[in-house]
Amino acid sequence: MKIALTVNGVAVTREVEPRRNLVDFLRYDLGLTGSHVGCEHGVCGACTVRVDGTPVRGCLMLAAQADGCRVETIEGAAESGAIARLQRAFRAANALQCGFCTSGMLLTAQALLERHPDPDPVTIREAIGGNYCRCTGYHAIVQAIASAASDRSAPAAPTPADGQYVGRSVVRPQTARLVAGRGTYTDDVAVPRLLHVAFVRSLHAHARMVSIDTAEAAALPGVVAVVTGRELAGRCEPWVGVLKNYAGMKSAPQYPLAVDKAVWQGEPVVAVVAESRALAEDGCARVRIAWEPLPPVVDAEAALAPGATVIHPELGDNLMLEARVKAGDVDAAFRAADAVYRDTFDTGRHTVVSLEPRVVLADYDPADETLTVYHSGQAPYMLHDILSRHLRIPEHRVRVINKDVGGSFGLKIHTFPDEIATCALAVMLGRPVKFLADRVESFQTDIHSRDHRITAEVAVKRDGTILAMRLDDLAPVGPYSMYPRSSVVESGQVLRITPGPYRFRDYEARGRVVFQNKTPMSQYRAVGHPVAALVMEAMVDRVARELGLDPVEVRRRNLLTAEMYPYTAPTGLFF
Amino acid sequence: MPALNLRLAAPRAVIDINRVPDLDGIRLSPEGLVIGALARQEALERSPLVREHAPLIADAVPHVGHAAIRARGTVGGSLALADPAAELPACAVALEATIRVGRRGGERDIAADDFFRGIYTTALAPGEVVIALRVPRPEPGWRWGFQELARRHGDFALAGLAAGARVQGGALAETRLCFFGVGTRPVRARRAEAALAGRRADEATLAAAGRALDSDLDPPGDVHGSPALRRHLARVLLTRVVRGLVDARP
Repeated sequence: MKIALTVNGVAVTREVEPRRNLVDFLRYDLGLTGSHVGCEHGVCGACTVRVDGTPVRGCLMLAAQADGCRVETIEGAAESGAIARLQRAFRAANALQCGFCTSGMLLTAQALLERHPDPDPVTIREAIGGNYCRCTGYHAIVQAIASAASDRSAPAAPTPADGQYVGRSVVRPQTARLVAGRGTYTDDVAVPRLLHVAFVRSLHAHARMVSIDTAEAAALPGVVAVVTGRELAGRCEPWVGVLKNYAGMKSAPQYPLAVDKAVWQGEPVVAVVAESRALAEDGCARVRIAWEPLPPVVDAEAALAPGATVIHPELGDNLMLEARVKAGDVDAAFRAADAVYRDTFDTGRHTVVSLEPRVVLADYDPADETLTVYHSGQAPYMLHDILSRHLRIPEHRVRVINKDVGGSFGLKIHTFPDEIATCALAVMLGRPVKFLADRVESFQTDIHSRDHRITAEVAVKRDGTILAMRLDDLAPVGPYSMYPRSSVVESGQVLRITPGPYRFRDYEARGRVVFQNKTPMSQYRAVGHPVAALVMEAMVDRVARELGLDPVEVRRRNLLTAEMYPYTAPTGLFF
Repeated sequence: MPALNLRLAAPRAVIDINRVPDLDGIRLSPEGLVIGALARQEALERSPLVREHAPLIADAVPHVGHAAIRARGTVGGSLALADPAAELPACAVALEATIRVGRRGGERDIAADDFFRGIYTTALAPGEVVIALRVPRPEPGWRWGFQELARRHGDFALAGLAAGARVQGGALAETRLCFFGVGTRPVRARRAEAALAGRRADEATLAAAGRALDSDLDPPGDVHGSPALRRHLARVLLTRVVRGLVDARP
């Protein structure tokens, strides 16, 4: 259908698909890539634009509904000078890191200041309550908006002319682009003849695919290819996420798309490549898979019990790794104790939720056999090596380019099968192919972390002195160890860092990392620390409670003292 | 729109009613306040008519999502979606409002309490669309109170309460308690209302109403909170809101 509207003061007439939402129209049809898509369902605010002056969610409005409207985006606001004060204040307060939320923040703040020229912090927080930032923590953003409101000539913190940076506040030069909506995130990269891939994902935690019927999907106009796991397997060496420094660790070969059997709900099983993302998703809905559900392995203790279903029968059992740490004479210390306290802790899974989802654009040129990959990631050289190895392309014909990254936090350092599948598809089809995870896919397939059942036991003297500790960590991870950094490091960290800043020297710990039919788990920011600190501090509080002592005093009696640093902990950590 | 974006819904056609004339009006009629289905939540927030004649709604609307959501979200959309944690359906039930629905060649009024059937399920028949929310003129002496508890402002409520009371001589002559976020639809807590009837909001009465509430509510457990947590929050809300109703100026 035809729509006519004004965008940043310019009259625009375009033919749009009725289902095209406003932000996709602005980004892909008009090339206004300063508005970003973080969640696709109105929660994150990254796609905020102004329609007839009002800030709205670009993802919650169809382009057709903007017919006859006046739309303003970050590009217009930045180029007209209308938000210059806010931009300066954001940069001066360092109110942005990755910049992915910044366009939405700025337009929301602009509308706020038009209504409330001098808002108090509560009003500012209320106004930006619907705009998520995953990097800065909001305080700097609130400060920036307040300073833009109060000081009309707020100068940006200067860049020292003398080149001396230590001890000074300086403005990061790269933020100039980001506050103008001129960042280039991977989804903003435009290449000719781009194809889009969407994945049919397993509905089951554990199931065999009896048959896959792709005929109807392949026949859909706009669909270029429908590829199953078996078809793609020959184009990619499988990977095994084991680390050599963890003796006895095991995992199974993982392919870009599941072959015959899916092992977590959300695992990619069939790829549909089409002229647009929407058409690719239409194709996914037409792929018919006959599933034969298998018993899901979803409890760590049950997974280790005799007779349990084994996710990878060739491995023999569901134990990815058993590791131990031992220091001093724990048994003797427990025998000498006045009291022993024991608790079990369950810490729930959670995930990273970078505002910019995982995204990869792979461009293969069959003429010179070169693969160029634009990737939202944190380890381009690692990916370069992995792509060369697993797609069997010499290193000098692989290029990995990281543009701006809209948050990562350790998420985008792992090898995700849908991303490798995208690269393999680009090679297979000889055309550029892009995969952009939507928010549901992110929840189902981004790594999870911090799932542990930990039993801790401390031996103490009556005065609260901790003599020794025993720890047993059961870590239910996913059906594969993530590649190449594995899924065992978090448990390893918990084993090693739980004693923390306390003095006791007698310590033993066991960690068992267990395969599960759940979203793959691995490590991200603060690997193991929240879990370890929770357990240790809760045990210290328990000691205080049981002995009727002040928890602060119990800590004082057990903490390392200043003269003990630098210190080698019983687990071997040196700090 | 979220359901479309996430492909949880795939309707064959979507009809845009944004240009239907006069559907967004807020006006006072002899029977009460009439709020057009297309009135934005933001308009309710700013409307002096709503503040005066349906203060419960005026108090509830700031809890709906965030400013950019309220700029587009409509009364009709909120009612027709029937999210069990939504504010406006609970207000409609507490106000004993009626929902006017239209179809080709006719209209009918449905009492709010009959309109909400379950999660995302209403009494709307195929071909029918919400036209307006009609809030009756309250009898003298009624006061209204609204509170909800969510992890963050703007999130869906773990538990919420839209309430009204007619206070006479410091006692609760009549009370309406409509909880949301604790069931498959807005829930009138009739037993708790009965426990309050004719009494002052003293501790013993509120405790008795809290106990009665346990048989009124059967909250679900999910990742956001257990049934026990939701029951607890509902009792907290009951105490806070009912005390507020008694203490408020009429």
